[in-house]
Amino acid sequence: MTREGARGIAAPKDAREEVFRRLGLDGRLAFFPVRHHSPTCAAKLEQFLPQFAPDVILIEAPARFEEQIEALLDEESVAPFALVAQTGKRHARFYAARRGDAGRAMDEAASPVRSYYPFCDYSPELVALRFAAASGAEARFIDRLDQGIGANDDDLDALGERLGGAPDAPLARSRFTEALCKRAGCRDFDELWEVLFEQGGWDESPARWAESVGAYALATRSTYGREELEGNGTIARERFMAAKIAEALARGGRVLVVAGAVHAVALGGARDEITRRGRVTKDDTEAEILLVPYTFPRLDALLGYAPGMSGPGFYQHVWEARGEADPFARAAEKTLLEAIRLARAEGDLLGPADAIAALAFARDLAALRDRPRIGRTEVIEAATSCLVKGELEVSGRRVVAALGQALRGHRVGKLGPKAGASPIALDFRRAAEALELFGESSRPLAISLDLKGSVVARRRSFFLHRAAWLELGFGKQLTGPDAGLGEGGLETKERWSVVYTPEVDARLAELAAEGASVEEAATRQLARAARAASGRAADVATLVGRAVLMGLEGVCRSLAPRLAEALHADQDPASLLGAARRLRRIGSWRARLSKGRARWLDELGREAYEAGTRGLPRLSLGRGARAAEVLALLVDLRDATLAPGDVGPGRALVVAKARDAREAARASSVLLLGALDGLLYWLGEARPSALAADFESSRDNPAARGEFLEGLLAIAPRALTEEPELLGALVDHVTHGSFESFLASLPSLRRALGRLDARDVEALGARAASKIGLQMPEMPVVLPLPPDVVARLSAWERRFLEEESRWADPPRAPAIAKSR
Amino acid sequence: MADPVLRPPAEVLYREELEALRAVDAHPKPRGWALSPRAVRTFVLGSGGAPLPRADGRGEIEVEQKFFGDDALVERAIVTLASPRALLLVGEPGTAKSMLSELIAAAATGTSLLTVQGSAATTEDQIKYTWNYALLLAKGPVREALVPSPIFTAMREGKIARFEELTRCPVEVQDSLVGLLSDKMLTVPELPAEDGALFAREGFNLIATANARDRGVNEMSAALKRRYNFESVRPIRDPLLEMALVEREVGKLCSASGASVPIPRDVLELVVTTFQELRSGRSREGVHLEKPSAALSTAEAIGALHAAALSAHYYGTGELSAEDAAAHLTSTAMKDAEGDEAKLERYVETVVAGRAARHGGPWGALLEAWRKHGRGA
Repeated sequence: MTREGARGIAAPKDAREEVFRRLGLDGRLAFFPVRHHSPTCAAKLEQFLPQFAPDVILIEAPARFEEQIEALLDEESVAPFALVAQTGKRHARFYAARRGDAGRAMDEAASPVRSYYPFCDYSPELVALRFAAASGAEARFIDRLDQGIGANDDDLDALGERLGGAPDAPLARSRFTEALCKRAGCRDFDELWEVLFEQGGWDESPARWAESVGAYALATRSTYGREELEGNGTIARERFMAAKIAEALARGGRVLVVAGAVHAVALGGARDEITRRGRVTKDDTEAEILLVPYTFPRLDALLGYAPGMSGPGFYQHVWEARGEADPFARAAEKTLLEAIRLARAEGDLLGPADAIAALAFARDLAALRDRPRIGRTEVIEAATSCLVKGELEVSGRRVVAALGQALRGHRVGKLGPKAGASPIALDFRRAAEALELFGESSRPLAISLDLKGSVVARRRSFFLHRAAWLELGFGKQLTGPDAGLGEGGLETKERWSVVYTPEVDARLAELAAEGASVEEAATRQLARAARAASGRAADVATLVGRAVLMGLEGVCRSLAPRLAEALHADQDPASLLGAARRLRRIGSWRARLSKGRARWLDELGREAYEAGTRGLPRLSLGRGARAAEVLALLVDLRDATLAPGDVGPGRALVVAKARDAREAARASSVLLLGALDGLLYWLGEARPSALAADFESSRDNPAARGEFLEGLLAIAPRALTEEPELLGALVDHVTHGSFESFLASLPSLRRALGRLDARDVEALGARAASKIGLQMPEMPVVLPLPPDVVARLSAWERRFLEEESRWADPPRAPAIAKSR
Repeated sequence: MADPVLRPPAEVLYREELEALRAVDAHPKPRGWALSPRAVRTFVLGSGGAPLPRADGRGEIEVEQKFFGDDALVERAIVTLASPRALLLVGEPGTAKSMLSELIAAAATGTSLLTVQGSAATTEDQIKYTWNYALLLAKGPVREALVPSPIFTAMREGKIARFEELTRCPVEVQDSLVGLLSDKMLTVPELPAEDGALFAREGFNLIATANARDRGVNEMSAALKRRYNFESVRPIRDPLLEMALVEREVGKLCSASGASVPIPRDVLELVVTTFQELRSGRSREGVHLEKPSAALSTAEAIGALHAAALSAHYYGTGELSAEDAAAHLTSTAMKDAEGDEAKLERYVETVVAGRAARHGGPWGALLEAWRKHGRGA
């Protein structure tokens, strides 16, 4: 009564007659209008095909995809899957052409560009292909891969005139859709389409349904101007299709064209011109065509595939129940039950009674709206009304998320053997399934692995590390050791988040040339990276670490000669000591996994330590992070030298080279001098008096005293507490020097003392207090703070002291004022 | 509207529309309902300009749209009431929850008067029944001595009852509805067995409203929540729609008050724009604003403009000026919490001052009114 409702919307009689003529569904050349991923459309086409019995079926899909038709029809494949057009490291040709040289320059640096053309069970195109395979009809694809702009430079011919439409669109598209939505009582185009052509069209005959869709498409087409159709490539694509149709007609037989509704009515209107054409423009777009599994979340219009229909999970249920009396009711029931199951898993108190109420609600709502069946819209509203107990934004989050998942579905497609998946893709799939890393769902999988306790966990870890190294985008490591065994330390537990996306298979297709298995590809890429890292010992050692994490022990051994080479070639002691540290940690990590020590790793590690030690006199400290890294390397050298077993450098070599380096450091870096003194002290080769002398040697630069102490305590934290002479020198500096000198050294002194633990600080405080005759309670408190905090506090303190001194001694008033 | 009362109920105010709808309504009706769900929807959302023949045969009548902004919400509300579940409308003050419940109850089962007004003082007696104590003392516990609540009456007669501000009632009082909504029956243990059980007749259901600004629905028991379908009612987002509604309603109120004051377009736009921006926390120019805690609903906008129009009628020239509207607008927006003053100050000194400098007109008047009456007024 309020509004016309969907049933009140019907195309005028003359428009229907025009569409009937254009589609020609009872003639030799028929056009069946489709919308991609429409279950009703697919069902109508499925009914129409045996009635029409075509000899040739021409489908609106790029002709370049024909090489994959057999693969698409593999009976063992499970939809969804997608054809991927991959245009190497640059965009499609037409794109660069439009952007000129600058665009081409940008393209050369661009990543591979992939365009996905997904198919699901209810894709009309797939239905047509499957019918062709079953009936023996010839199936051809008739569209261009690119948009054909500039590919057809002849003037508008008669066909172009027919396809082009009016120079000015008589009715803005948005206004047309808006007016239709208003008449049908719909909120947006998706709801309108559902109402008119999905549940609204389910009970119509195929011909009647095609006419309805055609009438809508014809009206929509009239909202496009010719210039726009030329500009977006529609005309060029339709010319290409027309030529393909003419070619098929020339061969004889009944021809059925399955194309998007807007193209179908335009081509059908130009059928007389089409029959006179014979020349096919070549589509020479450079692209590699792949077939990859796809996922329902990606198919969902809301997550990236714009031409699709939102809610593939719901529509898959419709398609699967197409033999039942009311497939939409069945889909609604399954979707609501799934949403309730998911929401319950998250803690919502919902049950079968709610499902019954929601389903009845959806049915009644559809009836009130004069809609013949329950649509996706009614399912959503039934769920939010009946399942959310409170305000939607506050209490409805779990239900809304669960409903979204249920509507979207989580199916992941699978390719059968005929699909010609590359060996590496098959190997990946087999391995992932065997390791239970590849569920039926496309939801992210949380994986926790205890590498020490389980062989299976180690296998899973190896596989995930290999996938990560190959940049498949399959697993994301959340915690655990990294390739350098640095940040993750020697942990033997890992956590991963694993999820399949179509990009995994696209990347695997790229890697097909790298080997027949994930292991082989990872090995090959590792070897290539090792060649590229030639001469950098630390980089090669990182690759060794990565190989260990990937379980590629054989590769590790093959990297050994390259690493040995790098140890000879690399002249940077920091790089050599870095490589040594990595190798020692890798060896220890392997041992923790009960693999025992690898002799060759220990040997290479020792060799690296010795090469690095020999280079100590060349060691430069730098500033900031580099300085911190070098200090960490010297700590590691200290530990390796004293480590049991035969993993570190010889002690004598370290002492000799550290002494040489210490002499060199006197002229270059007080911090390094302190560190080398610390190293020698730790090894029992530094006299306490020498330490005190080195501390006092930089008398002219008070800040340097703190730096020396910082270097010293970084390597030998107990030197200050164990050596009274050094402590005495420090106390002298603090108590007998000038305040300015103390202030200048304060930041570095604090950084130095910040390296001590609380017990050492306390012991140090007690000794210092007794030296200057203070009791413990009077002792100033020294707190171990991080260096950056110390620096900041020191700066504040300095400013405070300056201000304080100004307050204590304010500038005097001018003498003249006083005299008055 | 025959009776000269201040505010007649919807079934009286729109009696002619309801009778016309009843006369042409051929769609299936839920048992106990006076109109079909489609006719109820038409009553609430209007006939879209299509006239219906009057029930008395004297010409035609157009059903006017009474609720704006969310047609689907109205449809869901009607479907819920035709189901075994009750309806709970939740939303900010002034979003026409009560009006919607009144309209639907009047259309579906013929009366909107079976209403319980919830408050902190509401007792279980007011929800179920109480006694005429004189009769009780004289005759003992007999049916005659029982004083039914509106909900009791709705159950007995198969009507839709209304429960305003449900969540302002104590939770234990709210819970007295659980059995009633679940079993659709009410026991009166004081009466003999044959009289002591009231089984709800077909058509009975309940529409409750809850204010999102009060305690909200979080404290409701899970058992009671399960008996309701919840619908969130939001302010109108479309400024043009809100302007049209405000203009119409202010016109009606002025007419009822005997004041004929035209509302200038720019004044209407000033009030609606200000309310929409403060409500959404964002200006047209994209400036982020702090939302005042005062209710800034369409109803408040109508109230502010109506007051301004009456002021112009009684004390002014009979023409509504931007200055009149601005003065009433600031007092409406500032009536609640103390913190609102600073929020409005920021809005005026950033958004309004900018527009006043660029366009002058009503924005200049609002700026001046704020500086004169607003801050510290």
